[in-house]
Amino acid sequence: MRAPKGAVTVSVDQAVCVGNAACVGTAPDVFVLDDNRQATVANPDGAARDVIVEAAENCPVSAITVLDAVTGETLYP
Amino acid sequence: MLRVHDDLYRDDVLADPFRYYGALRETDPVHWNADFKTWVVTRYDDVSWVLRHPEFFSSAFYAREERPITPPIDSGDEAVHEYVSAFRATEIIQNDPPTHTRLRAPFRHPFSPKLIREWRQVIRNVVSDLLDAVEARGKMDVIEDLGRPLPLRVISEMLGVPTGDRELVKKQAEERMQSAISLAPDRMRRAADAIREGCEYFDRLLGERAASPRDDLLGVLVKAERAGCYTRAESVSNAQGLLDAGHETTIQLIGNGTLAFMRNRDQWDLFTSSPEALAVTATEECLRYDPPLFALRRIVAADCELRGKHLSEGDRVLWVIASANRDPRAFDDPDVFDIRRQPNRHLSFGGGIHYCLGQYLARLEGQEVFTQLASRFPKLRLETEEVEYAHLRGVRSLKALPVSWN
Repeated sequence: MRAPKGAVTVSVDQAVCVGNAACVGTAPDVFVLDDNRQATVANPDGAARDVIVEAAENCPVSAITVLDAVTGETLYP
Repeated sequence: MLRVHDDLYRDDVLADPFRYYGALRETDPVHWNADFKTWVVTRYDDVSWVLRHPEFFSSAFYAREERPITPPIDSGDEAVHEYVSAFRATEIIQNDPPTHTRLRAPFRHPFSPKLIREWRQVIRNVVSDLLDAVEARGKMDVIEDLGRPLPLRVISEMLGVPTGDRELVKKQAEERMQSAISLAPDRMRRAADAIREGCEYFDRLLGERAASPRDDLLGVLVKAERAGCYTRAESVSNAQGLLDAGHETTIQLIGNGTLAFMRNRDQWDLFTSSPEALAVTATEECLRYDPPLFALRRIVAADCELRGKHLSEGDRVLWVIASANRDPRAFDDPDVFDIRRQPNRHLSFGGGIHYCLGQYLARLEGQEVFTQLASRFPKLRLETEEVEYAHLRGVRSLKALPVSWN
């Protein structure tokens, strides 16, 4: 099955995340904090693509990677 | 059980908070200090919990505190103390929601990593200029030649302070900070004089900015005033608050970080082998290992339990970053300075709703300083093993850090 146009693949590097939750503030339907206060991706389709990229741009430790789910192109960093 | 004394202003505590608060962390992690009438919270998990429950732990210290000030100030200075308190009470970090939310809102975007990243080149150039100025000398004082000028120049530029006024603004900031970190009896008077000057100065500058708008932090304040979000008194106070916050703490990051490198030569040698690649994790480790602020305070807003102790409304709480960052329950080999440590979830920027607004700016400044020091002066070494700390509370502030590199 092909990913729908505009869809993204989002990942959080758990070795880097410090649980700042800036991403949860920007895109609460995409990111959640787990019991260890680490950000995880709950739903990569939970916000518009530019909102998700903005969340990645505003991670203070650059733990978030965003790829175009169709082309695999890196949207951030 | 080890008996821990309660004199938080003793020289040995101020010079080595890790040892003193580390002992408390292991013996009595939520400790009632009867002399200072404050709870001392020292474990990582507990500090983290305090930070995430502003409904129990208020930041409105100036508004709520009714006990006499400690250590005492000169008699006759009660009125200036009240003036300073009223001024501080309008700062973002001295407030709880909803006021805190309102005051912080205009700065969320300008201080986002995305926008702060645009300042990297400016920071890089300032560091480079400062190092150019001392290179031929073969030595410098890291505090005076790098730590003091860099953050002030950057935050002045972000605010929109004219270049010619930087010295004036620096003097005001240094005097104003006395009220927060000094233990001297004349601290409130000195701070009050600087605050009066600063208020007049920024009132005038904000007036100019309102007449001819510019895209800087004073412009943000002017916009917030127009939107009815800020009063003029609040913008005058917070312009100075931003200046102070962006100034004092970054000096310590640069000084204490450089000292940590010099005292752990293997880590400096590792760092100089590829500074760019290691700059991010190394700066985080400097922040963790010897944090710019080692302890801050809250005041209990509603009765609560912490680790079996009952905290009552109005109690003071000191939350100790120095011990939380060295808690073996949270970090492997916590007393080892390891510039590749990852993850590094230190609490040096606090957490929760008050999480340091300038944290990304501080990170960039640290990264640029350490990278350029390592690339230009890989042979950097201490000129003396005897370093001295200023007698201040909450910050471990080196009086000087003489180094050489030839």
